[in-house]
Amino acid sequence: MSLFSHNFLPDENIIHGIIGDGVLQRNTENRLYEQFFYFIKDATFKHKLSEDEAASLYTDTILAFIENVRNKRFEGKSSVKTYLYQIFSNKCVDFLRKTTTNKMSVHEAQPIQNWILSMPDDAKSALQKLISDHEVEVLKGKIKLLGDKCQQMLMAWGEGFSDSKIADELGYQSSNVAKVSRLRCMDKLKGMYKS
Amino acid sequence: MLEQIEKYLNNELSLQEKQVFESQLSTDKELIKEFAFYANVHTASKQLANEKRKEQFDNLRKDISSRPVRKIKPMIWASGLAASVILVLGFWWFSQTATSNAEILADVYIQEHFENLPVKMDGNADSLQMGLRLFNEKKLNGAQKIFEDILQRKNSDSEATKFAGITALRLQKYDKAIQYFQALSQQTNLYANPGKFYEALALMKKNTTDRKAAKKILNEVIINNLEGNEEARKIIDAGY
Repeated sequence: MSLFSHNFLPDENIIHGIIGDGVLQRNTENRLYEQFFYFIKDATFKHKLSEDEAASLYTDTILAFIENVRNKRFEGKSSVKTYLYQIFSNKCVDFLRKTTTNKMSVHEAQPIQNWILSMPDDAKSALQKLISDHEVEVLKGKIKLLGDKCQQMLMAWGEGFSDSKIADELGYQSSNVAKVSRLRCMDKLKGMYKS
Repeated sequence: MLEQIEKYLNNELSLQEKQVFESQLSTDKELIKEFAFYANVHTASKQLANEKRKEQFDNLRKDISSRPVRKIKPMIWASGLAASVILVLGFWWFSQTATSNAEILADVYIQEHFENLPVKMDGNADSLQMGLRLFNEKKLNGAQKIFEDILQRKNSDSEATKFAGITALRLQKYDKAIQYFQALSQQTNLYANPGKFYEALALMKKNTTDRKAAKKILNEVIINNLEGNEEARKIIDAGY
């Protein structure tokens, strides 16, 4: 459908939009989602997945792609469509091998894994004991109890946005102000977490 | 402490500061806990962001799925089909009309030029004039016999060849007419030789299978400015 649609977004516009300003970025991501929406139908035929399963995997695919673009892991050696389809196919196959989407996302390219790898050995083992899915789930619940601004800020940070961009998006005077505010939110969260 | 961890992770510490920090990490349990907290918050924030985005995409999916599918309604199909039929019929009618117009021009020419042939009024009763009189009296078979008799005697008689061809055409013996007209066109001693054009007329009258050949000869008449080229052009312009 994309080829014939006036809404078809060329690859360079997709990349430019994802790393662009907030409004452009969300708009681009939504259009990207729509552009290859037919993958879902395709997977229901090809992999015999239910529509909901295929849709969930498709969303994961789009999110993985967005992250790869932001982290410059997408080098543009193939077209966006080919790249997305590859990710999507792999996710479908993994799903069929009974690997759940959630597990996949936990093990997917978390920056924390890279941080730990570069640490001294004794610190590494101590850290690995403290970093767990359970703690993450508890913290997710606590973050939801924070104010909107803190939630937005932490989520933007989690998505990989720089303080400078967070400042622009959330209306802080400078990146430094945004950073200080974010660290305060984390301190507040720490207080809630400990209690 | 969180700020220090962040600086370490962002490579914002000097080499010396980094070494101090890493040695602290190996011994300071509070720093390890703080580090783990930082890492867990980051993961939790990322997951929440993804969950929120997934929710937005799910809403988008619902929106896309609920959009009316642009099906072509039966009436539109019917209209499209009707339009196509009209177009085809129109094209056919146009081509037929064009052909008809060209054929009418050919018929008009035949009627105007081959209805009555010029007879000399000097009272001479040579064979050719007899044949022409018979022709004008619509005694076409008699006229044909006379013209052919002349040709038996003098094969190269251009006038007899021409009238024999015209008579054959009027008798609807098109193959015969074509043969005479071809013979006529091969005669090079004539000031104006209508052989080619007459041949084209005979081919046009013969049937549609010779349409291509007729058109080719008509074009030849036009290009070489042969006798009948104006009429030939009119026929071609009429869409033949």
